[in-house]
Amino acid sequence: MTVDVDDEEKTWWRSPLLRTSLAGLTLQNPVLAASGTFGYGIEYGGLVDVTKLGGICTKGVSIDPWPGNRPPRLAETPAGMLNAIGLQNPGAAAFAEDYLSWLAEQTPAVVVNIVGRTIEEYSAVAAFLDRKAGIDALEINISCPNIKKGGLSFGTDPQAAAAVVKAVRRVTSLPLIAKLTPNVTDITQIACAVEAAGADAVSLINTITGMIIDVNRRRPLLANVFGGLSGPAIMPVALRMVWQVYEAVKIPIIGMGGITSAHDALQFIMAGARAVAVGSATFRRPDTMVEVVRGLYDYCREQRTSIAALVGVAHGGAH
Amino acid sequence: MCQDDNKRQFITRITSHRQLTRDIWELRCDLPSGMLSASPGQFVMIEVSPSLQPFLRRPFSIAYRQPAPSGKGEEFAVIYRVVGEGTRRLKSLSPGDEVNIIGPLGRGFTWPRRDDRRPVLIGGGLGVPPLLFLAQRMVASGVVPQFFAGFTRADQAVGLDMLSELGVVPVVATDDGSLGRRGLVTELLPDPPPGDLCVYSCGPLPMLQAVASWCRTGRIPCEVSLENRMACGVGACLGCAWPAAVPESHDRDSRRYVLICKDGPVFAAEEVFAFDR
Repeated sequence: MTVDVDDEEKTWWRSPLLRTSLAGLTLQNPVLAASGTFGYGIEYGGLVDVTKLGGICTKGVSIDPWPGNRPPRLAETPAGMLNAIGLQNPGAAAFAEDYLSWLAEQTPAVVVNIVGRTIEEYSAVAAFLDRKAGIDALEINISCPNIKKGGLSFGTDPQAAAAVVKAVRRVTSLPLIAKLTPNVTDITQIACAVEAAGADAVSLINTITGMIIDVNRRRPLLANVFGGLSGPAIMPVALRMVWQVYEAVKIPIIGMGGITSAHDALQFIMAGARAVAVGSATFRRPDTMVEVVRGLYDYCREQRTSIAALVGVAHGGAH
Repeated sequence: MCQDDNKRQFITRITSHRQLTRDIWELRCDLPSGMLSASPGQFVMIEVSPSLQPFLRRPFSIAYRQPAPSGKGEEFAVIYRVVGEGTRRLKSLSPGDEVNIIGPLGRGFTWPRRDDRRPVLIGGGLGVPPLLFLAQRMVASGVVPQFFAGFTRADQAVGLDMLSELGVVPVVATDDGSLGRRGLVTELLPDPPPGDLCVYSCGPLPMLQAVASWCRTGRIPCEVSLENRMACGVGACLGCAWPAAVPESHDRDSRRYVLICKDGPVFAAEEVFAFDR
C-alpha cells in the first residue's frame, strides 16, 4: 500500500495502519470508549475530540427510564474504582431524541449498549433502536440481573446469555456485540454460547464484582453493597480472558479492562482483540483514548506493521 | 442537549501553597486564560498524582480569584483539608510545580440576580471558601453581603482575612466559643427571616438543611452547594447522584437523581431537600 507519508501524518488517527474491522463494521482505528465511562459522548464535549476515536459505546440504554441505585455509588480502590450505578439511563426514547443525532454526526462509529431485566426488555429496546438512523451496532450488556431468575446475571449462564442474543438477533439486523461478564468460572463457555446464538462479536471484560467496607461506619461503603471493579487493577485478569476467548471463538473480540496507554492496548491486541475500549482511564485523563490512538499509530510506523497484523500475534502460529 | 463547553483540561502552575490551619491548606494556581468564565460555585478536578495511585482526580471548589502577583493574568485558589491519600499527595506539591486540572465545572451560584434581594451568605467549615468567591463578585458589583460563618474551633477558621479585605464583616460562631459566638451558626440567624433576603449556603449537610428550612419559613430563595465523591466531574460516570426532592404525593418509584457535578454543585434548596416533615 502506498501512502503519502506527510498526508498520513496529518491524519494519523485514520491511517490505514490503524484500520480494523469487526462485526461487519470498519473502524478508522481500534480505540473505542467503553460503555458507562463516556456517557452519550456529549458530556465530554470540549475535552475529547471524538472524531479521532474508533467509536463510542454508549452508556447502557433500556426501553424505559431506569433511576439507578441509591448513593453512595462510587469508591476509589487501589489503582481503580468500584461503581454501583445501577444502569441509570433516560430510556430509549429520550436517548434517541436527545443524544443520538449528536453522536451520529460527531462520532465515527456509534455502538449503543443495551440493557434489560427480562428477555422481552432486551428485545424491546433492540427493536426500538433498529428503526433509528445513525447506529452502527448494538452492544448487549448481558451482565444485567435477570429479575425472573432472582436477579442472577444473564451473563453467568450460557443458556440465558444465548437466549438474550437470540431474542435480540430476531428483532434487528444491526451488528450485535455481546459484552461478557468476567464473574464466571469459565468465560469461554459464555463466549461460545453467544457465538452460536448469532453474536457478531464479543466485548470483554465488564467489571469484576467487589466490595469495600467503611471502617468508620462499620458498614459496606456502597449502598448496593457490591460494585464493579474497574481500572488498571483488573487489567491482567481482562487480558487473560481475552487470550482464552481468542482461542475459543472465531468471532472478533473487543478487549477492555484497565487500559491507560497504547502499551496496554497493544497487549490486548496481541492477545487477540481486534479493537479495544478505554474505560475508567477517561475519568482520570479524558484525552487517554486519543493518546492511545496516537501511540498505536507511532508503534505501527516504527515497527512497520499494522493493527490488523498484530491481532493475536502473542499466541504464535496460526489461529 | 445543552452543555457548557467551557470546560477544558489545562496544565497550570502552582503560584503558592500555604498551610492555613493544622490540616487545611490553600493552593493557588495560574488561572488558565481558557478558564476566565469560572464563576462562584464552580469547581475544578485536580489530578493529584501522576501515577495510577490514587487513580481518580479530586474535585475542589474555587475559593476565589485574584490578580496574579506577577501582574500578568489571574490566579485562583482552592482551600482543602488533608483527609486522605489524594489530599496528602496534593499537599506535597510546591510552588512552580505543574498540575493537571479540568475546569471550570458545574453550575454555580445565581449572581447577579434579576431582583434586588439582599444577599446573605452562610458557610460552615470548608463550606466558607466557595462563598468567598461569591462575596468577591458581590462586592465587585457594589453589593456588600451579610456573611455568617461557622467553624468547630478558632483554629479551624478560614477565609476571615479575605472577607476583611473585601470589607465584609462576618458574624462568626464556633462550637466551643473560641471565636465569635458559641454554638451553631444557624442559631445566629434572625427569626423569622426578613422577606427581602436571598440566601447562599455551603457547608455540612445538617447545616444546609437547617438553612433551607429557615429560608422556607420566610419564603426566601435559597441556593445550597453540595459535595459528593465523583469520578469524572462532567456528568458521565453518574457516580455523584443525589436524590432529587420529590413531592410527598409521589410514590417511591418516582425516585429520581440529580448529578452534583453537572446539575449542581449549586442547587435551589427545593430541588434537593424534601420538606415532608
